Amino acid sequence: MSAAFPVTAYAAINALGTTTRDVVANLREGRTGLGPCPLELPFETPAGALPEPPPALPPSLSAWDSRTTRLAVAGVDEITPALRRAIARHGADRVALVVGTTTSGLGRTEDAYHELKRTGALPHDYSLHRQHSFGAMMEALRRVARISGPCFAVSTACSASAKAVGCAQRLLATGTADAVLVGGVDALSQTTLRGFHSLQILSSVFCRPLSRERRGINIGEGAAYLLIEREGDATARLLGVGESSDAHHMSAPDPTGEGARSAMAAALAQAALPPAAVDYVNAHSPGTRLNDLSEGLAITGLLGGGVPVASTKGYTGHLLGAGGATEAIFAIVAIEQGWIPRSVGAEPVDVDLGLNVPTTRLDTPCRNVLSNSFAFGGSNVSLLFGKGN
Amino acid sequence: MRARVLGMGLWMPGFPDAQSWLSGRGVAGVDTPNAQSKQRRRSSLLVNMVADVAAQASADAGVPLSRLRVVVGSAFGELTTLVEMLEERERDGLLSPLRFQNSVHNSAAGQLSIANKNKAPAMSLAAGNDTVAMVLLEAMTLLALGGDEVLAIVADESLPHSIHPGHLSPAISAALVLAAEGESAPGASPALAVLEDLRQTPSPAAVERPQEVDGPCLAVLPLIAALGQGHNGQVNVSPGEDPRWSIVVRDARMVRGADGARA
Repeated sequence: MSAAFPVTAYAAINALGTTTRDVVANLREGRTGLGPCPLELPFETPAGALPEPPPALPPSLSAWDSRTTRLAVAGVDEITPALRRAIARHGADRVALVVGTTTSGLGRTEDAYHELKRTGALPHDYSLHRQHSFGAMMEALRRVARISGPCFAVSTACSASAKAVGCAQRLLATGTADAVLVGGVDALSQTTLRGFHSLQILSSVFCRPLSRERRGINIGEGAAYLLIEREGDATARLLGVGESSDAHHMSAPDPTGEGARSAMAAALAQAALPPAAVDYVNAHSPGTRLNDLSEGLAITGLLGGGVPVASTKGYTGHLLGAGGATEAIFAIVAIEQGWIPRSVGAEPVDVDLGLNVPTTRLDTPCRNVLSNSFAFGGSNVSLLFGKGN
Repeated sequence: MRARVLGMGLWMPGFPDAQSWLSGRGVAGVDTPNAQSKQRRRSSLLVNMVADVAAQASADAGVPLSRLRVVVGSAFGELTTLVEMLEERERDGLLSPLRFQNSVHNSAAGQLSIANKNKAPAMSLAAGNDTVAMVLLEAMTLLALGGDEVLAIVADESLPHSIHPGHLSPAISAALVLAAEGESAPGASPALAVLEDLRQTPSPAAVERPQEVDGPCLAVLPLIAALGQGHNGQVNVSPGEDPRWSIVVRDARMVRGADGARA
């Protein structure tokens, strides 16, 4: 398959801002969005919380209320005008909705379970179907977006929304849909933070991806959407999606980087582009040594050590299911605006990785950008975006 | 889009395979004998249910699990593991790292990949009532764009009473090995049937007032029945009184490009 699908609109909210403009402006200026974690935890860790809580859902959606669904609905607001135009062009049943998430309404279930243990009863308004399940968030989003084509959530842990972009590409390439609203949403939750703490990879200080002083990851929250169509004008296009499995370990990457390398190679092969055509790699790098070593080997093995490689998780925290879509937008911004963000927190860079890590913003034209997402279960995805018209 | 069905597997409590369910001859117990032994000890019921039907379908299709692309659909994912983690948190505030890493929705897909040293892409998705339909859609789009066979799996455990009291939904897992049109790979079984015309019924009622069904993956049963009994025609693959999605099952011998149907 070699087809370049235009990304006709995008939107993101996360710790960097509650509008896409603020998110991009803060990324450009190199300002981190990380700060104190708003959740009560028995350990210290910064987090990438939204600067202000997402607004309440409209009354018609109140039965689906959870922080994740609030984030999902708040995030889609900015892209709605473009989505409406796409629906008018193609028809609502020719537009699909594919969203990556890991938590769905987990936070709501945590609160409900706590109430159950305290009082012996679940809250009267708690519903597993409408507040916890993956289908719940999708149903609320589908109603807001007024989409009636295929609609599903992808949940492959931290690669979820990058995998969702792969699904979108297939829906478009097979003519199943004319446009796909694809994205990712995840909210901070007790289970996620305590779980990563139990794995001893949560950092008690700001995360330092690609730095020799890295101490682990920070978790963030956010929502990000791309509107990708079969045809149309756009400044950037989805050129390729490469996917693979490590088949190595549930939570640790293959130390050889083979899976990551094959995902990147597959994305390039799909676009019929050579490694030398890549101008920038948005690394998955969340801030652990094992991830950096594995991804470093994959990048240097395929692309060499010259191409700029940055991680944006020092700005937003690890957005889990929202990460792939958010960082796809950062890759597109690099193409549109001609700059590569400084890899915040990376100084002093881990030189053993052999990567070219920018510690100041690089103002340079980018034709083709790879964005990597790797996850529990050995799930690897690499998205390749290129210049538009 | 069209796909040939090369093999299938089914597991429900008391029914270890499609044949036992189709014949109505259940057996006692809820074991998953086809899941690999190392995996069974360490894994959740959902992971074992997925591994069991994957092994059944792979053997039926004559296609090794080491090379199949995998799409797993589960409306609720690892809910039992989640409740165990919620209990852990209430008890002592901290979580087991092993339980946490196995709590992700793609735990079954990941463990299947690891157990079979399968480096092909693996997908894990959820779509409420449409979970069966969206697994078929994802599998058929993968096949339509080329590449090897796809193992399409749906699975859900019984919903935990603690967070969903007063409801009963049986656990179910089912798997199909699907292949693109054309000749089967060497060693692969002839096609059981051909699937085509996966479509959404434009029903305003189904769209505006979707029913909340406790066992949406049970919607795969009419398809398993049609395949097992050799019935052709349109089959609903969404649950409820007003199903949104259907697919057409056709006799492989009657479809051009579908080689060597099973007698």
